[in-house]
Amino acid sequence: MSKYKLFLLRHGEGAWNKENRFCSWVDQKLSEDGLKEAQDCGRLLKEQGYKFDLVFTSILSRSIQTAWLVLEAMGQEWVPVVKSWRLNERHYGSLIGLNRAEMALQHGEEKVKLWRRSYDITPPPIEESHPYFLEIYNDRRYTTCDVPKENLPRAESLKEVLDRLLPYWDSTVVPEIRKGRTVLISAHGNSCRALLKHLEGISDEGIASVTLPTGIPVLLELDENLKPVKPRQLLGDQAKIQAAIKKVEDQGKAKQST
Amino acid sequence: MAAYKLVLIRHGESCWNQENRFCGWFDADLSDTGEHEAKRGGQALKDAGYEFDICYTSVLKRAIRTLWFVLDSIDQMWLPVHRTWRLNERHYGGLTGLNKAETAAIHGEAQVKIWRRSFDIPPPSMDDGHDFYQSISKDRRYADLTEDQLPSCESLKDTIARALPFWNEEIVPQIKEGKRVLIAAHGNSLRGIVKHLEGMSEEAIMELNLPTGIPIVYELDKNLKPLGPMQFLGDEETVKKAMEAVAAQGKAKK
Repeated sequence: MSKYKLFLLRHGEGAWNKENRFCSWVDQKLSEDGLKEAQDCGRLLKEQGYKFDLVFTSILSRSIQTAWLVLEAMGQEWVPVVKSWRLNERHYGSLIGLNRAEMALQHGEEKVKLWRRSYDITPPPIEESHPYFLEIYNDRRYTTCDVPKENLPRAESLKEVLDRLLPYWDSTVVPEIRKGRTVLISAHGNSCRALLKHLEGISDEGIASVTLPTGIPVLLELDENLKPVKPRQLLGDQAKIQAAIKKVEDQGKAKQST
Repeated sequence: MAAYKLVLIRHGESCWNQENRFCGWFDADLSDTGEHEAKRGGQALKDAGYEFDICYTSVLKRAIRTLWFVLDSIDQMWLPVHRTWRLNERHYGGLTGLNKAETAAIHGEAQVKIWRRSFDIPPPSMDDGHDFYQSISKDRRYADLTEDQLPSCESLKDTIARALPFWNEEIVPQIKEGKRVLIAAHGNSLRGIVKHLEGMSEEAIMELNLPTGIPIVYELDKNLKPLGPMQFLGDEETVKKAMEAVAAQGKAKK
């Protein structure tokens, strides 16, 4: 018997998604398509009559923008929005900003595959010489985290994402769910995947093949122990969902030559 | 030497402002003009290099969306935002939804002026037969309010009486901790803060029209007393025009 409803949402396209670059902690805003994905998602949730009590986002603008557009479409702008770095996208270390071809060139296809598919292998850390280092670490938002700036990650495996996400989930999100609040988590591909792994008990090997489409709300119905009572549901028109899944999978396929 | 800086912004034109209707707690959205005003206000803050640590707004979308446009402009979308009914616009009770010109024609300019501009005379109550009773009084966002807290109408005095506790208990401690505060709200809830900050009389606050979509800056000493009059960010003409426009409302159309 489902007691609680939890919604996860992976934000839509940012400028770098088009170029297949790892955006990670670089604070890109949504592209026009990404804005539209968020609005469509909001319209769908409104049509289906969902009412949120609380929204959690990361401190990256694209997840916040997504949450705002969803709430706007639903006429629920008044719903509290709580932000935390612990929902940020996975930190891709020195791979940030590189596209697939550049990565394969610099590190070799096998290494790249390993970093992307493995659960606990961390990519090389971002160095001060990296073109995006200052843009990230000089940003004032990283002085407001519950961890001193110097202790924030310089690179993460998916496991490390869950390691910094889980305490937040337990201390801050779970109590709200237990109060019966309908929660939306508007976040990123890997922070959503890490949470799904935890909630659904997916194995370290199994999580590699789980990808969430962008802009499609994921409904989890949970029992009083916060265990899912049924498989996750991707909400909306089936054709649209299939197209969104295909889009993400195509991006993941190795491209030939340039 | 200012110990603290506080920025207030009154939301821009709503769809109901456009129609000259008493809006109050009705959750009207910004008109295109209102969106433009919010973006312009955000740009003024961006040009002046403002940074904030915490934001406050009401539970009405015209204020919240104004804040969102501003945060987007100044690239600080990640800031914590606290929403509270206590910063809502004044509740116009039974007048909610009525066109201001029509109301003036029915009740006379003088009565309308009294309702809009007096300090402690409330408009008629919004009773359960009112068009907007369900959508306002029974809205989910007010589910946690006690019977005493949920208004059916408000004078300016009532509005201020429920806004100031939030100012004193929530906002002031943050300012005193050195947090740079941005408040995006409504004409009358902001008048409450301004009256309090400047120690204005009831007559004086009734005469004050805060411009819309224009950041209002206060420099405060360590006791939160303003060091000078409020300053507006934006070009002189924009500011002048906006103040004149608000004063023109409420006059019956011929």
